[in-house]
Amino acid sequence: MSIIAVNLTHVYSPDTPWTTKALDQVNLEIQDGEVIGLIGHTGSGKSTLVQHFNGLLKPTAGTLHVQGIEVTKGVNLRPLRQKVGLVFQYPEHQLFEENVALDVAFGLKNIGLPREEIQQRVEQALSAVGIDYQRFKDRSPFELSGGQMRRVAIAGVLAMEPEVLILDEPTAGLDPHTRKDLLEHLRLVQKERGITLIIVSHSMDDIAAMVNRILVMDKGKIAAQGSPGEIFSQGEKLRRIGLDVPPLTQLILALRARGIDLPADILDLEEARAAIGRWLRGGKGNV
Amino acid sequence: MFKAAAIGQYYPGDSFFHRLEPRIKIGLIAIYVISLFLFNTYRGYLAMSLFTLAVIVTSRLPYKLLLRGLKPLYFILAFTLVLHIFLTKGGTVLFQWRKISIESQGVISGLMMAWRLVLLVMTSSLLTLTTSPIALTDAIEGLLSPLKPIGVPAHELAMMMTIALRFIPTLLEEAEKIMKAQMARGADFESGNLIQRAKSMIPLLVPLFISAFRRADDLALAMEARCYRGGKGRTKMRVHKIAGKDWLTLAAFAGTVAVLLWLKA
Repeated sequence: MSIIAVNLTHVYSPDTPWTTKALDQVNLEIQDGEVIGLIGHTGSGKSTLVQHFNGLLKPTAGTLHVQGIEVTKGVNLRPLRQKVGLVFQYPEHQLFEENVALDVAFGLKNIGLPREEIQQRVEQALSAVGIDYQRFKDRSPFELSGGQMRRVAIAGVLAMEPEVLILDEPTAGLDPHTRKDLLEHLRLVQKERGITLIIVSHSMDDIAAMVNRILVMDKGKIAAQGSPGEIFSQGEKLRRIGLDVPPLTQLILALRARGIDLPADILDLEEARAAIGRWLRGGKGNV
Repeated sequence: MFKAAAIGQYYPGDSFFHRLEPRIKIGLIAIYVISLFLFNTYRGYLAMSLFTLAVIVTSRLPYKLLLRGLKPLYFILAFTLVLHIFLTKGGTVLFQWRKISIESQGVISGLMMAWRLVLLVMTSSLLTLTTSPIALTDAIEGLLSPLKPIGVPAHELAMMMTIALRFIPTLLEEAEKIMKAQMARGADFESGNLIQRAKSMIPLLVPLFISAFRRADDLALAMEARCYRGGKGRTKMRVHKIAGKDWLTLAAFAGTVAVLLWLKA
């Protein structure tokens, strides 16, 4: 099972003065259990692309198969939406129930699970994002902090136990500590359940270290793809399409440009320190 | 799915009608609407239809947009037509079945009433299609300001309208986003009976209201931070001046309509 798109094209408001081609013949394949970073500038089509994965949008042209289901006009959305969990940007804006437990249970009730299973899944989902079930279950979601609200909203999707979990800018607007903590929880969830994880972002700073593969989108097309090291070493190309490489990579690239022989695919601060240290001591930085 | 609900959409352009001073434009539309109800002959209707057609053609508005604006009217149009056909009597009898009869006068007045409604809605939508919301509220403020001494809050009304217009697309976008997010969690907005459907709106409406209040709060704060203190002594960045050309247009149109009415066209 996997996600396979062939010449996937999507046009917004066709036949009007506002028509825009958001996706232009996208071809891609995502295997089970992969951790994908999807980066691109605002309006590059990344949100449009992921909304196809759970059938919120349908292809204008081309084909898309998600976990063995073809996404077309007549597709039965229920099984698709259970297999693919999509967490939108600022998901805390979708909270509405009177308490945390009920809000997380919303999706589960919609798919008609028995009461005991709902309660068990809610508990699991909340603990997976680092929220203590007993302490929070009866509290109103609106009196939580921003970071807690976001975790609860993500738990609402996690509780559906999707095979593919997609998060659109999951860390936007969070402080660095919460950001790191949330990503750590997501990484653990991915590992435990072996699910496919797709993280959409316009900057890859904090998730570079956790993804297997990065897809770069530009003007509705896949502009580049590869491992984080491969992608970030193409600093010039990324800058051309309006994306910034992480500061650490910028430093490494700048050093390399001065003729200092460091590996281009360093993503981790520790790794960088070791390599630069080696170069300082030996005059040669070969790992 | 919310696209059809976008009423009063501005369609940018640089035509004669686009450039008319907004206050004059409102005046023109007002004269048009009043005279539409005074005319009751074919020729009068023809003249009014020609005016509308001329504006549509010269402003290069897409016909689709105008027809879409009529969509909410379909039911009322059909209703008017049917009511007149069956209830207005006179002329020759076209159809008779026991006590129900259709007479020629009924068909004629039904068609004329329906056409009157079409012209009415189409022409008033021309105002919003060719005038930017900001210019429109400015014009309303201008037209209402003589009433300030008797307690009409002209500036406040205009400001409220500006803000409301400004946030219609934002809230629609927000509603669509929340709807999608809840659909991704398995919410179903489209099936079930009336009560089920009303209940299914809760996951949409609660977050929407919360975000509307949050936005209102933010906006109020931002306006205060920029020293907004209401209309008194406030100047405008863009001052609309009524030029000779605008007066001329208004006079010409009013004159034509008056002559047509006088001739009982």
